[in-house]
Amino acid sequence: MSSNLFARESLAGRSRTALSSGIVTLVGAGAAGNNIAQTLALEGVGELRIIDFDTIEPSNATRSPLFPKKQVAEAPGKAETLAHSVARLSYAERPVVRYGNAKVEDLGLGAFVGSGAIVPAVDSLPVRAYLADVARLLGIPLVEIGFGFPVGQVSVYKNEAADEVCWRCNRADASTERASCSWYARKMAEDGKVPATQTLAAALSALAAEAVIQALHGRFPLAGRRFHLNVETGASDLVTVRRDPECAGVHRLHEAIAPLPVTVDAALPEVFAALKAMASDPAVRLSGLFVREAPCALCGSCVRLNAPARTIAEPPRCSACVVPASTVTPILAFSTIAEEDAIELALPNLRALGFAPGTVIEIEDRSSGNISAVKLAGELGELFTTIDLPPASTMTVT
Amino acid sequence: MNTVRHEKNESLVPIEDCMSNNTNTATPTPPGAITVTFLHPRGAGKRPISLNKAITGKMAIEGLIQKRFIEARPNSGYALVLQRTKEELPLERSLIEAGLEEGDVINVTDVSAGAGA
Repeated sequence: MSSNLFARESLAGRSRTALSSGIVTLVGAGAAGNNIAQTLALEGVGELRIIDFDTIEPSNATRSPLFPKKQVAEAPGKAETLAHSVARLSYAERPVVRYGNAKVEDLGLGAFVGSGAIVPAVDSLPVRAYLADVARLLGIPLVEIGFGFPVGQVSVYKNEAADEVCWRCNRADASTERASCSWYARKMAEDGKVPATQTLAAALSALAAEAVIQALHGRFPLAGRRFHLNVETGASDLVTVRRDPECAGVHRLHEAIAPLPVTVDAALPEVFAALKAMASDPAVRLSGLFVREAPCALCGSCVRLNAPARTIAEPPRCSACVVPASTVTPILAFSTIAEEDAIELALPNLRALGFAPGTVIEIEDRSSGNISAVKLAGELGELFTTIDLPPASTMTVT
Repeated sequence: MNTVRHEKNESLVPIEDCMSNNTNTATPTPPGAITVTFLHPRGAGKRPISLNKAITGKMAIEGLIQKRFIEARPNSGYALVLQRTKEELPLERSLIEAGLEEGDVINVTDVSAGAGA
């Protein structure tokens, strides 16, 4: 590839090393995801990981420059479609593009390990809150973007220290309702709101992409501040965001994450044996509640679920309920699992608790109260499909 | 009816009694309260409001929605930005305890979680 290819970017202070070795995880492959990925690919960012479980809808097309026109009607997966377009567009020396057509929580924290930045480009507030917590726990910079025509914002969180401001600080309005991005977009349209236009998406995505590029260079000029733009009037504002002492977010991070030589499919006694080498009385912190039992939605009697709460889509029903029970069973759920709980629940492995291959797990030592983090064995290939292109030096650029 | 909890006496009072329009100059500001001006996020006017010490940022936003100065928006929220410092005000703490002063101007700002699905 011509050595002059990045001559202009070099003048702007871009380091080829920083960009070609940079890994960016982009959650959401809609308008923001398309526009940000397009810029990062052109800038030669080495690896992009794209996560989205939604499929393309016709209304996405006019705000998503990397969704090929001829594919829109076929409603393919957003992440897969964007990943293939990005791979073709990338000027990285050896571009690697990974995609996961999955809910981000199902991929676990291992999907983010090694990232130089995480970009929540999703419509869901709870998913943004989840990603803010992930970024803080792993100490990865978070570049946030959000918009609803004609206004939007970009903000940056360095996540270098536990007590820094995080995206969740002062976000008491973040609902717990979870739905797909397409659902949110339809809801806004039904309410007469314009969720995005290409002008707004492109303008703010450019700012977010610049913040990502700066982060890959270890620079954070926007950290702790939020830039607001009205694309219609040109009005803008730069606001300082402050740490909220009452923040419900995760204000701790793990500077060292030890490898745990077991997989997500290892039997739980084997897992706890390995953990006891690190903590005398270990309990595994779950990423969400694990529900052992809950009342039947009709009769109130006990229904055994043994499932992560996020996988329970419908209110539980027992097999045969006719008469309302005299007492309603309380919900019994776990937020941590110790060895005795694992035996009582009779679960086969960590996967049954909702963990993914290669994920990072927080371990609470019940004797000391210390919290540490371990990374399970596992490959990114278990989470993502990878598009690995030949080195750019073999490509012809004229 | 929405209620707010006073920090000191723990009594519950209607939010309307804690946060009132103060556009009528004949109405005195209650003792301990201050009058500040909220600016609409998209330039559609301003609203002088009397706030007492119990009002948090979240209550102020809820009050402004109740008074139809701003609208409830799906999948997004509002931030309150103190114009003289360009700093975001806390949602869960008393605005007065956070440093709000008589005559301050507060920008009500859209904070969206939209990403163009």
